[in-house]
Amino acid sequence: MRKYADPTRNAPSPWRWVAGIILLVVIAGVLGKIQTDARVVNRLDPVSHAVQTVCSPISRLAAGVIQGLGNFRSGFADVRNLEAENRALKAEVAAMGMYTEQVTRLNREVDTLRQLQSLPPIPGKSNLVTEVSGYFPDVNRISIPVGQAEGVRAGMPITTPAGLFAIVQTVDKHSSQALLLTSPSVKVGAMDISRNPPSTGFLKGQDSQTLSFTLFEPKSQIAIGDQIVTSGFGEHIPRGIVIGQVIAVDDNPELGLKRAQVDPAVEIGEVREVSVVR
Amino acid sequence: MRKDESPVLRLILVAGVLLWLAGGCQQSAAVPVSLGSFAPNYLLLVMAVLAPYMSTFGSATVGLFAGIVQGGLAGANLTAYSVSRIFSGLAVGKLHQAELAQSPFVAALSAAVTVVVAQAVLLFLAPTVNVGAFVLATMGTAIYNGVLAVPLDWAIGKVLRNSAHDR
Repeated sequence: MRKYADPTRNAPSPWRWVAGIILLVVIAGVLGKIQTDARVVNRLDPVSHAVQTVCSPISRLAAGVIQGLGNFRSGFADVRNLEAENRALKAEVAAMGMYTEQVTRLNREVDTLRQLQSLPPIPGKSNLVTEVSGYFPDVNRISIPVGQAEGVRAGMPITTPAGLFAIVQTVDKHSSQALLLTSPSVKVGAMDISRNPPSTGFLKGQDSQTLSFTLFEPKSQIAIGDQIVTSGFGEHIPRGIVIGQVIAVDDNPELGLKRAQVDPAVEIGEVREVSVVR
Repeated sequence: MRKDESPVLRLILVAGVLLWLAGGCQQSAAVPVSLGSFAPNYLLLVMAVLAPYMSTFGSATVGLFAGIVQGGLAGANLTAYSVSRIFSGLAVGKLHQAELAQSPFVAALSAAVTVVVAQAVLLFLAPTVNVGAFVLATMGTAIYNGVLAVPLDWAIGKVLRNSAHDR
């Protein structure tokens, strides 16, 4: 039976070995410092930029192969289901057309009323459609292949048709990285639109599948099943983007706290196409 | 070029190419092939299969680069990822100092140890809120990498056999 090579042969003296390991750790520390300094100004550090640039051709190739295999398998196995799904989607598109007309009419009405009240028009937002180029669930991050050149800025929301998905954190020329909504580092203004008036608060990631919604006013009403959307009290995130549904309420009047657990509307593992709301 | 430099250069070249391929795959082909919390970590896999052909310090150096690639791709803390992979490289390097006979079991064990040590150090350097889910994901990755290590170890053995015998 073949043995592995003997890596101890010509081994360096212990002090040189320890010095070498310390050197490696120091290099790691310096790289981390460079990264932190770049992140303070919402930029990607040069090392991460180089790594992403070098690895992107392989990443695109691998994504294409995986997607091709997946399409072949699903097309082969689910052809009948796909036909039925296609018919259902066409019906939904027709219904959405009517809904869109109604929304456009109502928006026009809002604009007219604002003009009558001498209020300035609401600044418009546009959607930049792109796809997820890298997905790192263990650190609650994604990469997208659009950046500064395409008008992406730190703090902009990334959405899917189901709702809010992530918030842009660092922006490079043609790529960006975003924190998923489930990240504990993300904090988003939110409100419960199932209540009138809506209960407001802020929302942050709790774990990989749940969000924590803390209400500003502990006496506000909230119940299981309520719909949570963005409140729009920020520079980049507009009002009304769907976040999820309340699945538990934690009322603690002694501490003056009311919190709810929210199930995100977006199934994170299944997302491929996304929109950056600019 | 001296004749005895050839195996080392070949090893560096193979390590570089494998880390490059693993980085690209880690970015886009790790989540789609996951089975629940069982997802592969291609960079740790590369570290594990290269360890038998390297010194302990060499394994730690590969660990540093694996950490830089993984942290850089994810935009995650470069120091935490690099240091955790350096220590993982040291651990798997020490494991192979025992002159183990090549077998699928050793390859799988080596891959699992690499994952467990790397993630344990990472948990210490960059604590997470949900430790239970992290531990579960680590176990899943250790098993997944253990399975993938068997054919990859065989293939790497074919490529590096000559250089390994020269050492």
